[in-house]
Amino acid sequence: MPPAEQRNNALMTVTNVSSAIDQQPGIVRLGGRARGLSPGIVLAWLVVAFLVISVAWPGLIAREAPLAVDPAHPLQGPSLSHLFGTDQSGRDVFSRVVYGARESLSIGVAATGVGLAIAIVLGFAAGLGGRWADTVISRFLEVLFSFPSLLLALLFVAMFGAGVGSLIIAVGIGSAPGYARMIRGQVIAVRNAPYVEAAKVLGHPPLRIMANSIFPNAMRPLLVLGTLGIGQSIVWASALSFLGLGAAPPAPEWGAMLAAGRDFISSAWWLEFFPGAVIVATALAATALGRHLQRRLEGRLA
Amino acid sequence: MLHVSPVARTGALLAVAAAALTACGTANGAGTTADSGKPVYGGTLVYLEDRQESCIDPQIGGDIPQAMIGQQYTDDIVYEGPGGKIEPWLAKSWTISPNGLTYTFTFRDNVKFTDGTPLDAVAVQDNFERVVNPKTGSSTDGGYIAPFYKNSKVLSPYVLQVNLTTPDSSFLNVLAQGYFGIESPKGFARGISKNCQYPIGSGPFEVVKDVPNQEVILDRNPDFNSPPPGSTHTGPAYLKQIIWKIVPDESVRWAALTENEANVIYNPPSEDYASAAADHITMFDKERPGSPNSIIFNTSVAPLNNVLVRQALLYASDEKANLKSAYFGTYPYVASPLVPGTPDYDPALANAYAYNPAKANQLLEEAGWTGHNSQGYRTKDGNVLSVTVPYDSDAGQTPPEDLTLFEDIQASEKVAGIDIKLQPISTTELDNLYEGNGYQTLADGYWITNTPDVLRTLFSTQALKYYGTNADKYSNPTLDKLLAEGLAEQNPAQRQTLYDEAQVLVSQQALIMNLYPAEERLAINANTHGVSADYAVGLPDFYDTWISG
Repeated sequence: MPPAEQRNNALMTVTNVSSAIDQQPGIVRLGGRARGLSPGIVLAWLVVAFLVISVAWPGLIAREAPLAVDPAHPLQGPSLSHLFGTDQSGRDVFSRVVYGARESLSIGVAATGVGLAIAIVLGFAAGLGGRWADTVISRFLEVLFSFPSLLLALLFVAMFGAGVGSLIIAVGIGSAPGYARMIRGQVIAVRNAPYVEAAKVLGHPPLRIMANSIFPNAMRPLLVLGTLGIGQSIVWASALSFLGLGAAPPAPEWGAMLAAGRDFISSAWWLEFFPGAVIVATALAATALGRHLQRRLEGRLA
Repeated sequence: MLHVSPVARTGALLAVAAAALTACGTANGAGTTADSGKPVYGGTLVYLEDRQESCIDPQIGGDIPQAMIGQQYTDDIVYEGPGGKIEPWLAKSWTISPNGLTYTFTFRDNVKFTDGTPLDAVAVQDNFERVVNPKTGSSTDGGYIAPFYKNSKVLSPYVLQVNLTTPDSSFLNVLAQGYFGIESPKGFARGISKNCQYPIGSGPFEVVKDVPNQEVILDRNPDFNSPPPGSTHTGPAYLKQIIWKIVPDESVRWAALTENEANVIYNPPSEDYASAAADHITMFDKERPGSPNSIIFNTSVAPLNNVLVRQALLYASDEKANLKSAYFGTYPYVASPLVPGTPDYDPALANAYAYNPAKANQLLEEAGWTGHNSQGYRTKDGNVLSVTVPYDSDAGQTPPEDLTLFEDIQASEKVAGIDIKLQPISTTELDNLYEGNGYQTLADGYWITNTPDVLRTLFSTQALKYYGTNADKYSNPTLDKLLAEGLAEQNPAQRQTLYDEAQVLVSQQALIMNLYPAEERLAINANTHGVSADYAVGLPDFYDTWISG
C-alpha cells in the first residue's frame, strides 16, 4: 500500500505522473498465476462446488423433496436410504440440508451484500466528504461498534420483526460498521496515492478520478472481506434462525433445523450433527478461500 | 403485570368434571412406587415447569400454570372426588334451594390463612366479590361465576349464603377447581401486584420467595389442618420445601430429572417415554376434562367463514396418524368438542372427520376453489386458498412436538391444495392479533374445565359479546339456546340430551381442528413418592409427597 506521506510529494514531474498512473494495480484475475494449491484449498473449493450445485440444482443431489413428510418413519438414524437420517416428521435430513443451502447461502450472500452496500456509502462519504463528514460518520460507527455485531442484528430483528427479509437486513446492518471502517481507511489511503495525485494534476474531473482510480482500488480488498464475510454472515443468520428469528417452519434453513433438532439431541444426534457440520464446513470454506485470496492479492500488491 | 392474554385464556383452563378422569398412565393418587416404605418428613422437592405467568395468583387471569402452583398454597370450598362427586373441603356442608338459586355453605371453624387471618364466611365472601369484579381481571373464575352471581350474605361467622341470578348446574364443580383457591382478604388489601407475587392461602405450603418467571420457593405450612378428602395423611405436609422452577426447554428438564437435579418435571419430552422405565422414572399422565387442544378456526374471516372449507380442512389431514407420530403415541386423539371424561361427553363423535382426502377435495370443489396455481394450491377468483396458523414462539410456550404436528398437518393440507402458513410470533404479537381480530386460526387452543358448559365459554354468542373467550367468533342462536337450557337443566338425562345435540352441532360446524386432550403430565424420579393430581382439573398435589433418602 502506498504510504500516506506521499500526499506531500508535490514536486512530481509529468513523467513521474504518467508512470504513477501506469503503476495502478490491475483488477484481480482469479485464475492468475499457477501456484500449488494446498489440500485445504482444494477441499474448500469442493465444498463450494457442492454448495453451488445444491443452490442451482438441488434435485441433482437430493433424492427426496425437503418438505415431504413421512409421519410413519420419524427419527430414523442415518442409513443408505436416508444418508443423514430422518427428522421428527420423517423428512429426509440430507435433502433438507441440500435444499437448505439455497436459503442459508442466499441469506449469507444477501446479508453480506447489504452490509457492503451500507458500508460503501458510509465509507466513501467519510473518506471523501471532508473533515466534518468524516468525524460524524466515524463517531457514529464507533457507537455501533460498541454493540457486539450479533446483538446489533438482534436489535434490528426486534425492530423489524422476525423473517428472512429482516434477517438479511439485520445481519447486513450488524456487519456494516466493520466494513465501513475498512473502506474508509482504504479510501483515505487511495485518495492520497501517487496515481490519484497524478490524475488530479492532469486535470481529470473529480467524478472520473473517483470512478476510475479511487473506487476500483479502494474496493479490491473488499473482495477478500466479502468472501470472509459470507462465512460470518451464514453463521450469524443461522444463529438468529436458531433463536427462532429467521425462516419460518418448515423451511429447511440450517439454523432453524438446528433449533428444531435441539429437543431430540439425546435420542437423535443426526438432527444436530449434519446441519451443524454443514454450517461449519461452509464457514470454514468461505474463510479458507478468503484467506487464500488475501494472500494472493497481498502477493501482487507487495 | 395483570393483563392475561385472551389467547392464554383460551388456553386457560379448567372445570369440573366429574367424571372420569381416565388417566393414561398411573391412575389418581400415588404417582410413584406406593410400597416404598414409610413416609418421612423433611426434604426439598425440586419441580421444573415449562412456563408460568408473572402473576402466580390463579384468581387473576387464570391460566393452568397459575392453578397448578395455586393448588399448593390454597384450599378450595369443595372437593371433587372420583366420578365427579362433590365432597366437603373448606365447606363442611351446604344446602341448595329447590329452585337452584341459593347455596348456603357452612365452613370449618378452625382454618386460618398463613398470615393468621381466620378463614371464615367474610373471607370467602371477599373472594367471591373479588373475582366477579371486572377490575380484578379474573377471566377464568370471573368468567364462570360472574354471569350467575347475584350477591352473598354472611348469615353467621362461618355460614355464607350465595344467591345466583339463574340456576347453574355446574356451580359446585367450578368451586372445586383450583382456580378458585380461597385467599386471605388481608393479602388482597395489599393491592393486586403484591398479591400476585405473594398470595396468601391456607394450603399445605406458603409462598416465601417469588422471582417472577424464574422460581418460586414454597415452605411447609406448619399449622396446616385442612387437607382435602383424598389425602393419605393429616397435619402438615411431609416436604419441608418446594422449589418451583421455570425451565422452558423440555430436553433440559428431562436432563435435570435423569441427573437427579430435579424430583418432578412437568411435560416431559414424548420421545423419552420409551426409555423412562430404564431410567427409573415414573410417568404420570392425567387427562384434563374440557375442550381438547386444538387449532381454532376464526369463522368471521375468509376463507374460514365457509363451513365447507372448514370441514375440508378437517378431512384433509390425518390428525390421528400425525398425532401418533409427533407425540410417539403418548396422546390419544380426541375427535369430539369435549374430552372424554368431561360430563355429558358424546361418544358418538369419537370418529368424526376421519381422514378422507377425497371428501376434502369434493368439499373444496363445492366451495368453488376449483383452480390450481403452479405450486398446486387451489385458487378461486385469483385468490390462493391459504390459511395462516400463528403460534407462540416464546420460550416454553409451544412444545416442539406441537410444532412437528403442525408441520405434519401442513404437509397433509398441501396435498388437498390448501396452503398452511406457519407463523412463529411472540406472545405479545399473538395478543395483538387476537385483540384486533387479525387471525385466521389460533394454535394451542384448549380450555380445561370439569363441565360441558365449556361449550358456552368457547362457542356461544354470550362469550363472543361479553367474555372475549369465543375465539372462533361463532354465533348461532340454536346453539346458544341448547347451551343455556343445558346449564339450567337439573335432570341429568335431559341435560345429556341437550349437550349431545350441542356437541353434534359444534362438530358439524367444524369450529376447531381437534388434536389431543390437555393432560397433567409429570415425570417423577425414583426417590420421590406420593405425587398425585386432583380430580377436578388435574393439578399436581404435593401434600402427600415425600422423598426417600
